[in-house]
Amino acid sequence: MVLPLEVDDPPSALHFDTYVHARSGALLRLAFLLTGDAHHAEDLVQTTLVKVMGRWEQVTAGGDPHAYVRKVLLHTALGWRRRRWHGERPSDPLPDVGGSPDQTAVIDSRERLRRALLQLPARQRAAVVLRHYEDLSEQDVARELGCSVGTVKSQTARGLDRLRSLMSDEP
Amino acid sequence: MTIDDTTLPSALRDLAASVPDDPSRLTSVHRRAARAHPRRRAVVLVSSQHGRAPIAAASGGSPSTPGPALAACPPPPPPDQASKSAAAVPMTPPAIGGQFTAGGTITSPGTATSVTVRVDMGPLDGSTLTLAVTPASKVFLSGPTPDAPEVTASSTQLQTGEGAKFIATRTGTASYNLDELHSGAAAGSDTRAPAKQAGAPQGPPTPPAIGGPFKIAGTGVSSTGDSITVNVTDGNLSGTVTLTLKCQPPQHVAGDTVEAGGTRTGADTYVADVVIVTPATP
Repeated sequence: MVLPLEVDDPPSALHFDTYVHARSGALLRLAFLLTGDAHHAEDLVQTTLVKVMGRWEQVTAGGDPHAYVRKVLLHTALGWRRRRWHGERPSDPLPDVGGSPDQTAVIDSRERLRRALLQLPARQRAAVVLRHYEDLSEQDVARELGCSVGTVKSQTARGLDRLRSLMSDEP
Repeated sequence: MTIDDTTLPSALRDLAASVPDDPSRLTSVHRRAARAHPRRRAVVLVSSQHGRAPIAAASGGSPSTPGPALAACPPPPPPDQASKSAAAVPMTPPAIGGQFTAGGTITSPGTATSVTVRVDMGPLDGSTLTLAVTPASKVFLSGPTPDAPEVTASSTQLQTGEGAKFIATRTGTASYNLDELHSGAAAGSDTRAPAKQAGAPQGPPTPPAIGGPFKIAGTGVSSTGDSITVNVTDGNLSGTVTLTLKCQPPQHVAGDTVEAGGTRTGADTYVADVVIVTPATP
């Protein structure tokens, strides 16, 4: 019985690389909404990919792995939030932003939303992002977060209320 | 800016799209994975005997380490199939003049001229053989404890019921000469597997009895399509040994660290159940 035995080149390596090329951008964008920081988002994505890489064959056994990888990312992010404080506290005045007046307004809006999101509790933010960015149903969000549909509804509603309040309070 | 159910999704998409992508992410992921899980390659894993657990990796990664730390040959067949397939080759009787290795149970006290063994492993499985003791015959008994080295003995010291593993030469239709016999443990058991003893005087390790397990570490010397030669630096073998593999070894092993475990099948023959080759330079 003869088998190829180069562990450095697992048979599923190509599929993993293909997935990273195709979908890690989406993971990064989701991670950015969850963390509010580009560097933390990149770290979160890479940590997630390293986690799933080792068991890629099992991850892909059920078909499209993206939902599973997204769930790993989500729970990694929530775990991080429980373990450590990232240290960002939004301040009242917005930083000066260069560019044309139109661009400034766009960037200003983004920044206000980013900072408002950061002020939501982590699970509330995750519920809002999954529901309104990933466009998941309440049932799917409940499955991703491991909670009831009722909890998702209340978390999402409270998150939206809080976002509205924060955005209207911003100058 | 107002936030509601209709504007929030587009605002979130716009915010998410503002994060810069990292084109080197895949490389970074592979690098982080390599750091998290030490490099291992070229592992041959064969469960050659039903019920014997493969010898685990001797160093580095933990058993729970995810990922392909070990590449495995197909799993062993179920017990009934395993016994049939294992029996298929060894059951072939040796030709007259041919040497063979077998194991069994001594059925009567040994004499100065013969030893009688009921064979339950290897060629002539199921038969009872009377092995003629010659001046060239060697007999070894296990020590007083399982870890003690074997001692040279006489065939008259062999007792009924003891397990025996032996090498014999078929000299006629029903006659056999005993070449080497190791006794003192139940047939098929590994109780005489040598083990390191703390504080024990250093010296050449005692090799396992034929049929017994070995576990070594050393430096790879060369490999062929079905064997690998190792300069042993640790374990219960010594010197340079050639291990027969049941899976294809890597082509280049010279200088690499090799860890292996398996079974001694003859005076100078070893079949590896597990071989782990770690490159000398990562």
